[in-house]
Amino acid sequence: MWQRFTLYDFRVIGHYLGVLLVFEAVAMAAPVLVALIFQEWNPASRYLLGAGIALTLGTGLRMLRISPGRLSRQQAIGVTGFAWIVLSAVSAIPLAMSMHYDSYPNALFDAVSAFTTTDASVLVDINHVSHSDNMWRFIMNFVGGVGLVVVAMSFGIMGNSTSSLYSSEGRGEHVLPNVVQTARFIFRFAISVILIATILIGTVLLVLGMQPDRAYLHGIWLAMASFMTAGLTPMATSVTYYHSLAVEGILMVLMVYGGINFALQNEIWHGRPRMFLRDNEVQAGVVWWLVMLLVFITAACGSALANGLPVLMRTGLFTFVSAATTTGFTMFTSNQLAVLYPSGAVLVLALVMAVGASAGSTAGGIKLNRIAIVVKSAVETMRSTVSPDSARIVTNYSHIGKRRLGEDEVKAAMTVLILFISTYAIGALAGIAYGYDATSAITESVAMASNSGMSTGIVSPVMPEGLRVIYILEMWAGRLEFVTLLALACKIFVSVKPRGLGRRRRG
Amino acid sequence: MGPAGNTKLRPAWAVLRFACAAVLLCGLLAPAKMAWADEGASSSDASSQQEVDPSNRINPRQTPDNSFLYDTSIDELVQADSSYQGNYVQVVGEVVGDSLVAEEDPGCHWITLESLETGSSSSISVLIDDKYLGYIDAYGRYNQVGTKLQVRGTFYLTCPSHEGIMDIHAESVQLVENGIKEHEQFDIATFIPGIVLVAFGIALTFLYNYLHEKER
Repeated sequence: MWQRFTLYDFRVIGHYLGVLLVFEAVAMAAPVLVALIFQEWNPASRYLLGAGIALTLGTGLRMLRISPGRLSRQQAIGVTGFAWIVLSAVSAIPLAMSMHYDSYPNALFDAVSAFTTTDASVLVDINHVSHSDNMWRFIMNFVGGVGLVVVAMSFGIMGNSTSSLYSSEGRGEHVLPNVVQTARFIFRFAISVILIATILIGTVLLVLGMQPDRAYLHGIWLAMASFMTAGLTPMATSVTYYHSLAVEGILMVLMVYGGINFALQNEIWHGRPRMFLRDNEVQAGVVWWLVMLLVFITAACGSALANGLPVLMRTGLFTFVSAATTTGFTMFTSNQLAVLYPSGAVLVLALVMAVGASAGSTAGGIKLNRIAIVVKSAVETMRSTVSPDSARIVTNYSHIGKRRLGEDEVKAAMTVLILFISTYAIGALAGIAYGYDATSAITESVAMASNSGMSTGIVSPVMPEGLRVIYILEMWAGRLEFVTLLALACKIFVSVKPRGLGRRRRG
Repeated sequence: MGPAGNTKLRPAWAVLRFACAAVLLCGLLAPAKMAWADEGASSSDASSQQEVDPSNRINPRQTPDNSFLYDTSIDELVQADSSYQGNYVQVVGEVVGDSLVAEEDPGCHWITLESLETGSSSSISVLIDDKYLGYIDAYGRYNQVGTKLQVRGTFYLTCPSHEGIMDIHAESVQLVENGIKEHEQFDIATFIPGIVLVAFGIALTFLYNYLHEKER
């Protein structure tokens, strides 16, 4: 029996959405400041207007319920589910007013793509984007990668209703016993890593001949994009713009780092690397990535132009790591991917994107932990089949502590796995229906739902409207790992359905 | 007349028949021979006019000639298939971003050329000799149109020297048009809507806080 949202629920949800919008208004001060420093007056006026809209709308929504009280789990699902699309809608306003988007729907697509760290972009003339526009795009990456709710909780603006919000954003693991402490740890950890990476990358770019302001701006943007496994770059030629082995090496380390569970990173940080090495998810990830890398290299060797060792070691490995961590940085153009690589190699990339990296990290995809649980469950089933009836099969595994494989974990993992696969299939079929070739349609759909963004060229300013809507839904659902969004959709459907309709039919 | 008379005439008829056949044969062959003679005369005339150049012989094993200059666009190169690999191309584009030291090629820099087509962001990396950097007076950025250059060089869909990236190794660079630096004028009028909305939002925030305190 589905519980309806009441008017009180909508007012409470509205209040907390308002809180997040006010937070977004404050965050827009960053692009305003950058615009003023670099004398980009048009962007400065746009982001000031955007901040004004967010502040006014947010405060108005807060007034729906002056003292909202503690959030119930159902209300938390509503807040989290709507937050991503509402914040994206307001973020898109200053972007749409620039010359870089043909229409508001294109700007909305980019905003959703940035917040969900997918970063498949439909922006036009990226090489002439202002520093402030780029700063806003990368801030959206940062906030989305860490988590809207996590960032808000770390600033203490979500009040007492934290635990249900935290888990409804697709985060199941607590780094620290207290959810707010966990959120603060994740936020501070991310800031620290990005700061160190900015200095490293900026210094390398300075040595390569960039001006200091551009070198450190590119440094901070690349650091955000790689650690948040977002994959956005400020130039059209992506990572190949820099032609630097040092930059690529730093980005690869950051991508892998961003794809590791924050709880495990906390263990390493506190001098307990054994827990990291024994972790079921880490072991599964190592085996999976090694096997798939081997298959990818073997498949890529079939191409006459992409089979040289330097090509495979540098660009091939970088592309693989980028796909496996669902980052989406490319060293190949979509045309090169289509022309140079056999379809098998492209599908291997799609498969590793589909699985993704570690749960509780910034990466997307089905997550290695769920795959490991499903495999363990299958092994347990086979063991119980061949064992005597009297035998009791128990499977233990290590994942941030010792755990026993239970029905609940398997059910939860299978549910999300099926939902992801269904979404990949639906998105692929939609692409095929619009006339795109099957390999491209499958890879694009997986890239959207796994939030990796490694596009084969279907995403463009002129892509079909229907496909744009489908991809926005895929990115949104993938970021929230489906359960929250589907539960929200069911509750809204039940809430708007007239009362007594079912009873009348039965009568 | 008896058989003896016939016997005397046979050899004569045979000779006559042979003679007729010979004349007939000569009549058939003579025009052809005259034609050959004509051909022989014309070819000998031609050879007497032009010496045969031994280097101008056709080599049936020769691969397609890549030294042909292909005047193309950056948009076309970005969508190129493998048949373009190694072609000698000429493109015109706007220099955007920065010029970066080529780590693996001393004395060279990397620049990025953007397509001049309206609405196109197609870009390609170009490796140029340091001596051409002086042509670049502006790099395409926000509010800045970069120098337009014409580049001739070898296009690689996947470069064997640079880990498979798509690039052009420039052999010659020419200046087409200088860059343009635009100065954006500060106009307070464009800030007024934002200032008004922010002020309204702050006022609403004070009102909210007042109502919140009152409810306590």
